[in-house]
Parts: sequence; structure tokens; C-alpha cells
Amino acid sequence: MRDAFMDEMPHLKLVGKPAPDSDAGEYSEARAQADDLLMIAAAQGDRAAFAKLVARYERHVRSYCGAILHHETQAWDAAQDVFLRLWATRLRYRPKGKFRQYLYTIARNIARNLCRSKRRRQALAHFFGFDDDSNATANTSAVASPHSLHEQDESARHLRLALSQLDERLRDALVLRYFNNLSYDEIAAVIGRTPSTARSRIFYGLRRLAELLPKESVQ
Amino acid sequence: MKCLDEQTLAAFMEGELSTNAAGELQAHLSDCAGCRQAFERLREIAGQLRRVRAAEDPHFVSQVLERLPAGHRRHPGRWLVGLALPAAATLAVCWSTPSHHHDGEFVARGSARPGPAEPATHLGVEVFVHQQSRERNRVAMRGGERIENGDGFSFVVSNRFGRDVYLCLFAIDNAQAVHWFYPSYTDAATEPQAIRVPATPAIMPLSQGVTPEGLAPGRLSVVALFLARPVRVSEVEKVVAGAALSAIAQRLPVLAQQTQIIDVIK
Repeated sequence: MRDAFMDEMPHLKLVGKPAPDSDAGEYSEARAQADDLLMIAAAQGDRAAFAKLVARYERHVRSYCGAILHHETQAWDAAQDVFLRLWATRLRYRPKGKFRQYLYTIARNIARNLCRSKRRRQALAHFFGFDDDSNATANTSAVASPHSLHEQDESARHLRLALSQLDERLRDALVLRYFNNLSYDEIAAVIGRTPSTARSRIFYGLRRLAELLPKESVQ
Repeated sequence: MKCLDEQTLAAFMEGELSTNAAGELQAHLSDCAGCRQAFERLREIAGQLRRVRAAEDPHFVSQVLERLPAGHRRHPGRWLVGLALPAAATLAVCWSTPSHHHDGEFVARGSARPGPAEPATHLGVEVFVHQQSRERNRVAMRGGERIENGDGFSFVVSNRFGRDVYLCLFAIDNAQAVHWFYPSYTDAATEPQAIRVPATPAIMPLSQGVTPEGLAPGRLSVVALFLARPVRVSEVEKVVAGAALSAIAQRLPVLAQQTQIIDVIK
């Protein structure tokens, strides 16, 4: 009755030895299963397991929120909210190897909602003839606050500026693909479109960036 | 080969072209400076995007943890499905409402002597079904799944009860045959006992998955019994043969029981 099909399931060896934190490359099955096991532990109240998940993904989530909000501090706050919501909904998560999809869907919803609130605030501030504080700060950091921050060189500045001029949908897909290493299928699930739509948004985003970026800025 | 559009170059960069098409494109790139330049530019932009990361923030994780609700309530419903409690009425309450027992992070007040831990909220098994016919074949079992003969099971166990317990994992098919997962019971001449599950805050994967053979089509009950002592498989089979699953707890030293029902379609 018992057999060796477990040989095909390296994930079960990963408890206590999560996959490396590097997000290079695609989301491997072993990595997905390690994330699932951490979520299972978190669902049982294990805060240490949850802390591992936060540590693994916080920079990516902050980058992603920053690309949507164009503001470093707001991105930081949004990322905090993302993980608080992840904790609050951990019992709802079904461990099917789609943790990143789940996480970035939460991140997208939170960041976009904040972005909409910010726009409303800015519109009101403009209407009444005074400046909204967050608006003033946001304008100085333009888009890519997220990335910001340790890339102060000229090419990074050009990239932030170019990203800020992209259509929101193209930027969303590009960021999920290249900042966060999501596959087309994962991106499609997060943005609620088909993989081919995700693919074409990434392509058009790249093409638009190629037009916007001065040639010498890409090194 | 004529010059390439950017979409094809992007597909090449993403590794989406067939081997033949990629080979042709590579050959063209080595001959055509214009396409090579366009390709290099796309690749450099993608590379630059990949290097973008938020700055390190050593306080981020601790800030999140500080903001988590203190002393959350434990909800057995999702992960710890089907608790074996003596009375059916109690069982119904536990299914429908969260337990109010708190985990170790919650400070006890008003009593010098802590009460006993509730086993049903501290013991649990997560069962995964590995369906051969599915591309992504691992599914956490929630009841109601449809499986076929040849599909496998794997298990992750949690014991935060504070002391070692013993576990029997088995399935009862539509023909009332018992299929043992843990302990391994393949030789009728042996008499294995329930496996020991040490108390630990970590979740523990059981070392081997199991593919049961000869499951009768129809309803399959997957049962996990957490026991106070290492009972023998024959004891369990005797009780299972003579009583409903809900009555097992009255005849064996069961601390907690999980039962999930799925369908064997062929």
C-alpha cells in the first residue's frame, strides 16, 4: 500500500527549511509548497512562521505598492496593511501552491484603494485651492518611490520617470513581472485578465518604456 | 529572414519561442545590427526593471508583528476539520463557531492553575490529495473531492497539545474495507501500533505519502485518530467494524478525531 511517490514531493522536506529567500527565477513548486506550509502554520497561530513569510516578501510588496502609489511612505503603510490583511484572512487561504497570487491580489487591492482615496483627496484639495500634504510629497518622488530608494543614480531616475508616465495597466503588469517575478498565469490571476492579456500588456509596457527612456540611460 | 518586430524579440527574451524559431532568430540577430540593437535595448530595460527593489528595512517585519491582534482566537474549522468530542451537540457547536481557547501568546489571568489544554484545538492533520490526472496535482483536502485509484495522499501533522500523542490514519471505502496510511499495515502477520506524534510547536510532515490500492468506488472516509496510548491496528479495525465512526471515541482513548469524506470515482 505504501509507496515512494513522496520522492516526487520535495515540499514535505521543507518544513523548518524554507526555500531560499531569493526570488530569482520562477515560482518553483518547492517554493510554493514551502509558502503553503508556512501559511498552514500561520493559520494555526504560529507567528514565527508568519514572520518568515513577511520577511520573505516584504521588499517585493513594498516595491509593488510603491509602483502603484508613487510614494514611499504610503507604500510602506500599504505594505503593512497587506500583511495585516494576510494575517486576518489566513484561515481563508487554501494551500494550493498559489500563495504569491493570493498575496499580490491583496496588495493590489489595498494599494489601488489607497491610490483612489489619494486621488479623491487631491481633487478635493485642488477644488478648495489648497495643497494636500501627501500630494506634495508624492509629486517630489514621482513614481517609483518604491524602488527608490537606494538607486539614486541617473538611470534609476530616468526609469522612475518613465514608469510614472506609463499607463497604469501596463505599469501594473510590468511591475508584477519584473519586480516581483510573477509568471504570466500568476499576473493574469492577480489582474483578473487572461494570460495573453498579461503578456501583451508587458510587451506594450516594455515598448513604451523603450520610447520613453533616453537611450543612454539604459546601461 | 526579414527583420523582426519587437513583439517577437520580447517573446524571444522571455523564452517563449520554439527551439527552431529561437535558433532562426538568434542567427538573424548575429547578422542584423538593427535587430540586435533593438533586442539589446529590450533586454537591458527588462534587466534594469528586475534590479529594482525597495530599500532594506530592518524594522518592517517587527512592525507588522507588533500590529497583529494580540491573543487571537483559534479557529479549528478550517484546518482542524471534524473534531471528535464525546457529544454530538458539542461537535456541532465546534463546527459552527470558533473555539475560544487561546494559544500560548495569550496571557492567562484570574487563575493560578491553568486549565487542561483542549486536545481538539491543539491536534490536527492536513491531508493533501495528489491527483495524477491534474497538472498541478496537490490539493489540500477539504471534503467532497473526487479521486481515482492511483491518486496519492500525504499528511502534515500538528501537535501542540503539550504532550506526545499517538496517531492512526486510515480510510474506509464504500465496501467497508479499511486502508491504512499510518501506521503501515501491509502484512497481516504483524500487529503495528499507532505512531507517536511528539509535542512540538512546529508542524510535521509525515515522511511518506501513500497511494491506497483497490479502493471501492463511492464514498471514502479518511479518518485521523489522535489517541492517548499506542493502540494496535486490530483494536481500531475491531471498533470500526462494529460501530459508526462517530462512536469510535467512546471505545478507544481518542483525544481528537478528524473525518473527511471524499468520492472515489473509479
